[in-house]
Amino acid sequence: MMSEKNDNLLSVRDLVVEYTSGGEIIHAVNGVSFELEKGKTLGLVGETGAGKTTIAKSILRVLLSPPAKVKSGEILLEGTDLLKVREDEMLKIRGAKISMIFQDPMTALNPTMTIGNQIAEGIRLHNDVSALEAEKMAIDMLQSVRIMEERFHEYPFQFSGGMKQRVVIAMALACKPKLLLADEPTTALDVTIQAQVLDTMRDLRNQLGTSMILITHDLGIVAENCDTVAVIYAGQIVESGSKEDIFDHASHPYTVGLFHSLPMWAMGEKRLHPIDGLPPDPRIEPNGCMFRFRCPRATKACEATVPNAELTSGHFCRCIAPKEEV
Amino acid sequence: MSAVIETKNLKKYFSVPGGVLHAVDDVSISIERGKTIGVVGESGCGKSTLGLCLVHLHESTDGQIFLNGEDVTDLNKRQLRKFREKAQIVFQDPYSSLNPRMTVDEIIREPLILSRRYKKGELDDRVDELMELTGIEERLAQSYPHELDGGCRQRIGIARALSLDPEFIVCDEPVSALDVSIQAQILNLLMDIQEKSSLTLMFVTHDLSVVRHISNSICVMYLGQVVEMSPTEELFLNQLHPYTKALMSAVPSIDIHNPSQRVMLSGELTSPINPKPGCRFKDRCVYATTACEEPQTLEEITPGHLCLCSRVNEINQLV
Amino acid sequence: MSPNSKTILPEKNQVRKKRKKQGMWSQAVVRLFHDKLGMVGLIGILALVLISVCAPLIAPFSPTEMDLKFINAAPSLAHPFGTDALGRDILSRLIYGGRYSLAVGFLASVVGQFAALILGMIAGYAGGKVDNAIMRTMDVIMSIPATMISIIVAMTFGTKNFIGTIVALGLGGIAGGVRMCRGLVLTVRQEEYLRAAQAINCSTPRILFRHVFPNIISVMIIGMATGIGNMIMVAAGLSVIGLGIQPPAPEWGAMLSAGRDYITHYPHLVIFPGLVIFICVFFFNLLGDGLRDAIDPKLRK
Repeated sequence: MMSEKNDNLLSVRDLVVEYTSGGEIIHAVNGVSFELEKGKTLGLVGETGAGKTTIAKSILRVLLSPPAKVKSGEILLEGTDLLKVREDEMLKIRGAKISMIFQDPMTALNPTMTIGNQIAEGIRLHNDVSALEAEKMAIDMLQSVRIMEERFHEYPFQFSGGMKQRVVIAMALACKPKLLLADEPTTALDVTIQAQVLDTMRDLRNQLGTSMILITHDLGIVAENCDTVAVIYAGQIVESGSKEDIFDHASHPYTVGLFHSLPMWAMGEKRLHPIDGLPPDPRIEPNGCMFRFRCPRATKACEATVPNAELTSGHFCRCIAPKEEV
Repeated sequence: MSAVIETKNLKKYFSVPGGVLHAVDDVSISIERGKTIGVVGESGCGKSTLGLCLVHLHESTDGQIFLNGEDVTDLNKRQLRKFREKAQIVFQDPYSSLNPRMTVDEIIREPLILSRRYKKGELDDRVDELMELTGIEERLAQSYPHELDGGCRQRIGIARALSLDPEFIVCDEPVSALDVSIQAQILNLLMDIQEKSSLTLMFVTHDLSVVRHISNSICVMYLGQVVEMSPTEELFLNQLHPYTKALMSAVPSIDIHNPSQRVMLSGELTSPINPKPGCRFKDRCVYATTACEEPQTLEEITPGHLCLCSRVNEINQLV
Repeated sequence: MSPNSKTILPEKNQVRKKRKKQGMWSQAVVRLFHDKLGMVGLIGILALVLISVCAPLIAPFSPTEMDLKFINAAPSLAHPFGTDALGRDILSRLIYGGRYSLAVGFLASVVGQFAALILGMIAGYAGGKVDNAIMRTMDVIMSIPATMISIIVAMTFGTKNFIGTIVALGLGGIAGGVRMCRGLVLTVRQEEYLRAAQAINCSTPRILFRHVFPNIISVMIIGMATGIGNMIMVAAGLSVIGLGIQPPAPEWGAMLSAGRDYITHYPHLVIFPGLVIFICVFFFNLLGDGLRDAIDPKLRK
């Protein structure tokens, strides 16, 4: 669907993931395709339950199966389909080529190990280095996330939330992975700390040339950290394109609705402009445009399959009546 | 207009292992009828504790609280019952603030029954009325909270708080657990209700864009103290306290052509346990000098705009 | 917004009455019916209860009828499980014995869990000194084996009868229940809905019974169901050492106890009562697990 380029690090094609729960099928991801260039950052934006985390976990192949099942699709990392790779090879890819940061730093840190050893352990797992060298590299890593060397031998509980998340970032980037999956990395943090953490992450990534998929619900974070953006609704990418395409020329009614819901958008107006209604029940078999139940532009024609139209080069929109709104 | 709710030098200390935690320290605010005050700050700054003190879910350590000019700091059981019919609260987490074993109808009905204000026949009508007011579909009356989405649950929390026609409601981060599109629905609901019944609100949140939209005035808290207080628009145009400046600049902007000019703070929130006299922000402040070791006082810099910083004039070059 | 500011159409009120309330219990029953192992437990227990209730119709002999021609007789067609040292038919005694064992197990578990619920709620909600007093007492109790407590209670009150046994057993296992209940109350206390209840003027008893109790009762019921099997075992243990229900009542544990002197020569005296106790406890554990999944699907895992 999207133009093939040689500098693509990752391309995901027609990914479909389902969960089974109590005999019912939950359609979590319904045919998602996107590309990520080397060194770039893709922002995956969407609301709770849209399927963002499921996509990230499918890439890293850490979905709990059952209940989850990748029904179809391809996940190509530098041409290798990760979905076809054997588990023992996947072990070498995880951490070394792809790593992931989760929302809650506590779940990623072992409370009984010093943070220094945790970072060093990851380094030794993927690199043929001595314990001493690994320790040195770990200290370097800590310093690059602005944590002092003296804290190498401290335990996670001695760190504050923002520090812990920086340790997690250091761990994730210690093996210089090609791809970093960051799932709401700052949602649990305060804004001033969030700014520090995002800043650290950006510096370090630039230094290492790591590509990133940043999952968030915060459009402000996307605006400041991403090169390209994909907006997800009900397990489908409804609009994707460069940051400029999305922020200046939002064309899908859902993207437009998201922007209009923001209090910053309604500056000077008394009322906000929410999107009416709720996201569809994920147990419904996807059909037509899944946003039509809440869409102000919906017509009968929206019940048919909606093509992913290319509006301008690289700007895709899954809507039969794409339109910019101010 | 007179203040509906007012605090004078309100303090709430907790004794914790290692000393005394100054959760709320010397806070004096007042809110006029039909107005909204936004209380912002980062986690642990005491904003929620302040809210809980105002509705007597925490008992304050020192200072006074007034409701319609009447001192309501110390209340006996009977007075407390009366007070709570006038001052209510909406909680942050719509998942934990509703009893999972009660239906929507039962949750909204309970305060009505307890107030003994309604006859049996009137109860059903009042429940229906509240559900309609807060936009809960009638078919959901017999549902349990876990069957509903976050937005709907928060509507139930609002309906419960509104049930006794209070004059004042503390909203403790009521939308921070919700998605943006749903968040906007709930904010609109709160503003509509406020307009209809000239309700007085205290809106506790960490989200600056939300307070900017909903409040008439804003009070910024840092480690238990109010560091800056001002009418909303004035504060967004003209921040005086260095912490407020940093806080505002930290919010990521959605305007990709004008990213926010960040005032990066070093370090993280220091501990509110046994704070030293002097400015509590000085360890993270770029302007800190020895003058900041001295106790600070909240002073009115321009009319209605208060700031807790002895160097406010130097920093902002007003003189 | 006065109470009568809006008129409600009559049909609206009818709708209210017609709304069907599907409570947590009916949902739980549906889930239990779908749980195969849980149903095996339930059906097994119902069968045991039925057999005990209908004992006079089923049992081939009277449980106390002695036939001195057949002492310690091995299983045969006339006596499928053999006879005991006094020539009584073991099968018949087991069938009648269910009446004692099941009742003792069930009632002891109910009594124990009920006492634990009350103490645990008080300790958990009151906190402070009351909590300390109750919990330290429970610590003391816990440091003594449950069977030992039951023995002490049984001996102190000189109770070798039915009710005495139930009380002794129930109190013997109380400490674990109190601890569990207190823990649950402490968890519920953290929830904002308790604060919300305070904010709408709920009295303390109302908070306890309307807001705390419904949120912990399911776990306590599960504890009770799994406790029954344990109680039957302890009851058997008490009988073995000569406390609890006494001969000639055909209690399963007492039968086991009576048989132990002959274990080397007549193993069937021990094997059959032992097997029945084992099967019964097994069924109760299956039901307990099934109930846990049914009442609180979140607890599974």
